[in-house]
Amino acid sequence: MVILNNPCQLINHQAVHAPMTQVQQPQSTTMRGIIQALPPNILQCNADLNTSVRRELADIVWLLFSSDKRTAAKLARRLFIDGTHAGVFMSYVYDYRDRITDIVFSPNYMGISIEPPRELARNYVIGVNDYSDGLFINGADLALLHIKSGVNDCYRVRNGRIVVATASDGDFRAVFGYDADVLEREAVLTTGPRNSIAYRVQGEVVFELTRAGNKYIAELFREQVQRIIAIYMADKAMRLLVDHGFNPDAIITAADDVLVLIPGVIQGSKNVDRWVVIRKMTGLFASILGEYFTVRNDGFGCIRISDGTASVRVFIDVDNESRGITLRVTTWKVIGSMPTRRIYNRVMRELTGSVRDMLNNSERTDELIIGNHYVKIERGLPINFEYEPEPMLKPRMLRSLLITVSRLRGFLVTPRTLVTIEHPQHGVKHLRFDGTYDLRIRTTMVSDRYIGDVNAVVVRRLAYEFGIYS
Amino acid sequence: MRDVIPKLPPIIQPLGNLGINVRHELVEIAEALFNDNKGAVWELAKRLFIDDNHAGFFMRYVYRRREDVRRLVFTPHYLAIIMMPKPYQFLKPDFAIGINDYRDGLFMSELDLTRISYTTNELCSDIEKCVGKIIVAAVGDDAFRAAFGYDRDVLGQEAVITTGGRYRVQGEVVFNIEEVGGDYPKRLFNEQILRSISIYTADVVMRILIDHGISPVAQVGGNGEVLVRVPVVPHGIDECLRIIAEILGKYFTAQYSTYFTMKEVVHSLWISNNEVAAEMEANINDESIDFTIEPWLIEPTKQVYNKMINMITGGIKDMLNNSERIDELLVGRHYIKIERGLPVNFTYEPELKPKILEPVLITVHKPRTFLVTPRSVVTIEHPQHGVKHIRFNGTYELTVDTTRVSGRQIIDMNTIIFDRLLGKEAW
Repeated sequence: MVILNNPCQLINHQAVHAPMTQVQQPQSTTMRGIIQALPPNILQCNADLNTSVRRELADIVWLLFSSDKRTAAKLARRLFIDGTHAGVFMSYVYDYRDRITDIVFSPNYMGISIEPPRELARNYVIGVNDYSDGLFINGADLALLHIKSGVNDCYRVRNGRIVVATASDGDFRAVFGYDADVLEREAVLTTGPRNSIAYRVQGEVVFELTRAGNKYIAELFREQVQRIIAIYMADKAMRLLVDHGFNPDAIITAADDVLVLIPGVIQGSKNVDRWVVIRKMTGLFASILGEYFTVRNDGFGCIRISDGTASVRVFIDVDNESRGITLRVTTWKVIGSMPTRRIYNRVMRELTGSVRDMLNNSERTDELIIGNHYVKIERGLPINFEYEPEPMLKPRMLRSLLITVSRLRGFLVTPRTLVTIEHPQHGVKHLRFDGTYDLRIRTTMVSDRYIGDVNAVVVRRLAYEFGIYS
Repeated sequence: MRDVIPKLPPIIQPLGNLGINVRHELVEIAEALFNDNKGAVWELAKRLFIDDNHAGFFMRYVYRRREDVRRLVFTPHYLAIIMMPKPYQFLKPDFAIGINDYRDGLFMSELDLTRISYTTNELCSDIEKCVGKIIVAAVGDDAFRAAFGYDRDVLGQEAVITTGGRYRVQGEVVFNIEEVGGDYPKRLFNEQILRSISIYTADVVMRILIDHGISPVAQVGGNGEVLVRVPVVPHGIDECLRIIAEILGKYFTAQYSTYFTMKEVVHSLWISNNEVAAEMEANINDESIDFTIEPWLIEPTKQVYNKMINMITGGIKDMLNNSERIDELLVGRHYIKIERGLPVNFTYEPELKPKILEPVLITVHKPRTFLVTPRSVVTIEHPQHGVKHIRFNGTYELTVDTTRVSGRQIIDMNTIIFDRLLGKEAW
C-alpha cells in the first residue's frame, strides 16, 4: 500500500480488499457449516466448502427453509439495513421460497434465483452493506455469475433440488458492474497500472475512472474535428458545383461524413452498367473539382481532393436508376496525411490546451444528487464543452456546426479536485485523485423490475403510515 | 397585350382585361411555343434567357411539350405556362418565365401556379368557348410574387427596409423581415424557459420522493414536456396518488383531484410553493405512474419566468447593440455579408439548476436568421446581379430564404447541367 503526502489513503485494487479479510473472521461461518444445516433437497455444485460466509447470509438462507413467517419477518427486519429492504426480501424472496432454483454464496454476498409460476424468472443479490452494517437486497442479472460458478451445468440435473454453489466477492462486484469498493472515509483514488477502474464509493454510487492524458482529451474531440474538416471541404466543393449550375443538397451522416446530393437524371445511362456510369461521373467531378482543388485518383469511384488547408476523400456514387449522384466527403484515412494532419493537430492543440487551462484553473463547484447521495465536486470540470470552429474552417453554404462534447455526469478531475459524497445513513466521504482522470458517476447495475418492487413496498408502507390503509 | 393576340395562332382564346403592357421578351417566348422550327427557337432561347441552363430548361420541359400547353397568363414581367399533366403524372407542371430583376434576360422556374390557373377558370364562364383552346389571360405581377412566396422586390442597389414582410432582394434570395417588438424574447424563449421550470420542478419532486424511499425516473421529451415516472404496479390508483400527494404536501401546497372528461378519468396533482406552481397530470399504465409536469404561468411561476426573460432580453440587447461581428453565408451563388448583426443562436445556462436531472441549457437556434438594427449593413453580391447594400430603420429579425419553387425544378435543372457537362444537347 502506498501512502501519499496527504492524510488520505491511496486506494488501489489490493488496498480495497485488505480490510475485508480482517473483518470477515469473527462474523463468518464456513460453507460446510451452512450446507450441513440445510435440508436435503439441495444439490451442491462445485461448492468450495471452505469458503467463509458472513453469518447474516447464513441466517437468511436458513430462514428461507422456515415456514414461520412472523419470526422470519422479525429476523429480516433485524438483519436488513431498513424496513424497505426487509419488505422487498419478504415480499419477493421469502414468499416465493418454494420456487428458488439456485443459491450462490461468496464471503459477503449471496445470489438467489427464483422461477415464479407464470412469471419471468428473477434474480436477487443479498449482500453485507459496506461489509459492515446490515444486509441489502438488489435485483440483478446473474447470467454471467451462473456460467462462471457452474450453476448452469448443474441446473440441468437438479431434478427439483436447489443448486448451491460458491463464487468470489469479485464475481458479485462484476454483477453490479464495478471493480473495487472504497470503504474509507478519506481516500485517494487511482487506476494503478490499469487504464480504467470502477469504484463503488458509497451505497449504489459508482465512480468510473479513466486516465485522461492529452491523448484522451483529444480523443473526446476527434470525431467532431474530423466532421468540421469534412464540412469545410464539402462546403467548398458545393460552392464549385453551384458555380457550374448544380443545385446540390447536403446531409451530415452519423459517421461524420458529408453526403453531397445532386438529384438529376443522367441521360443515356439507362442500359449502361452502373460501374460504367460511376467511372464516367468520377471523371466529370474530378474535372469540376480540379478547377480549384488538387485532385488525385484514389481508387475506383474515389478521388482525393486537397487545397492548402486540408485534404479529404470523395466517393462518387450513382443510384441504381441513374437518377442522382452522391458525393461522400470524408476524412477517413486522410487525417494522418498532410495537409489535413497539420490543421487537425492545430485545432486539437487549441482544444486540449483550452480544456487543460480550464481544468487547472477550475474553482467551480458542481453538485448532483444520485438517489439519496449528495455529490459535490470541487475544482473539477464537467465534460460539457462547446467550441465554435475557427473562422477559417467555417462553412458558407452548409450550417456551421459547433464542436460539442457532452457526457452526462462526466467530469475531468485532477489532484486539486475534491469530491465529497454524503448520505443520511452512510455518512460523509472525501475523495481525491492521484492524477488527471475522466470521472463518470453512475450507479451499480440493478434490474429495472427491482425499482418497481421497491416502490411497491415503499408505497405500501407509506399507505399505512398515512392511514390510507388501515 | 392587345397587340400580342394577333401574333398568336387562332387556337388561342383571349379572356379578361388585355389592356396591360407586357415585356417584349415574354411575347417572343409565347410566339416560340407555336413555332415548329426547333433550331430557330433554340437560338431565340439562348438569346433571351440569362444562361444556357435556363434556355435548355425551357427547351426540354416546355418547348418539347408545347402541345400540352393549356393556358398562358401574362403579367407585365412574367408569363405563366400551365400545361395539361400527362396521364401518369400526379402533379401538373406549371412554369413561370420572368424578367430577371426586371431588366436583364429571362429566367424560368417550375412552381405551383394553381391560384393563377383558378383566376383564368373564373374568366372562362362560357365553357364551350374555352374547350380545346389555349386560354390567354392577363393578371398583375402581384399574383406571381405570391406564387414565388414574397411580397416586394428590392430593385435598387441601396435600400433601407422599413417594415416587415418578405423581400426578394436579388435573384432567388428572399429576406423575410419580422419586426422585433417587446414580446420578441418571450416568443423566442417561452418554450425553453417553461421547459427549464418544468425540469426544475420535476427535480424537486423527485428529490422529495427519493427522500421517502420511492425511486422515480424522469424523461425530458423532445417537445419540452417533462415526465416523472414512478415505476410501481399500481394496485389502488387512488391510494397511490393520495400517498404521493401526502408526501409532496410536506414541501408544497399540494392538492389531489380527480375529474371526468368524455373519454377518461383524469387524476391530477396541483403543487405550489414560493417558486413554482404546476399541475402534475397522472397517467397510469401497467408498470408505472407517469406524471407530466406542466408549470402554470401564474404567481409565483410568473415571477421566476419574468426574471429569466428579463435576464435574457438584457443579454441579447447588449450583444446586439455592441455587435461588431461579421457573418457570411452563401445562398446559391449569392454571397451575403451581415455586418453588426447577431445570429439567432443563443445558449443560456438556467439559473434554476436541477440536482438530479441533467441541467438542460436554454438554447434557441434559427438557421440563417439574424437580428439586425439600424447599425447593421447587409451586403449581397452575385457575379451577374452585382452588389446591393441593405440597411434597416429599426430592429428586425431577418431570415435569409429563397423564392418558392417546386422540388422537381432542382432535379430537372441538374439533369440539364449533367447533359451540358457530358457534351449532350440540352434539349
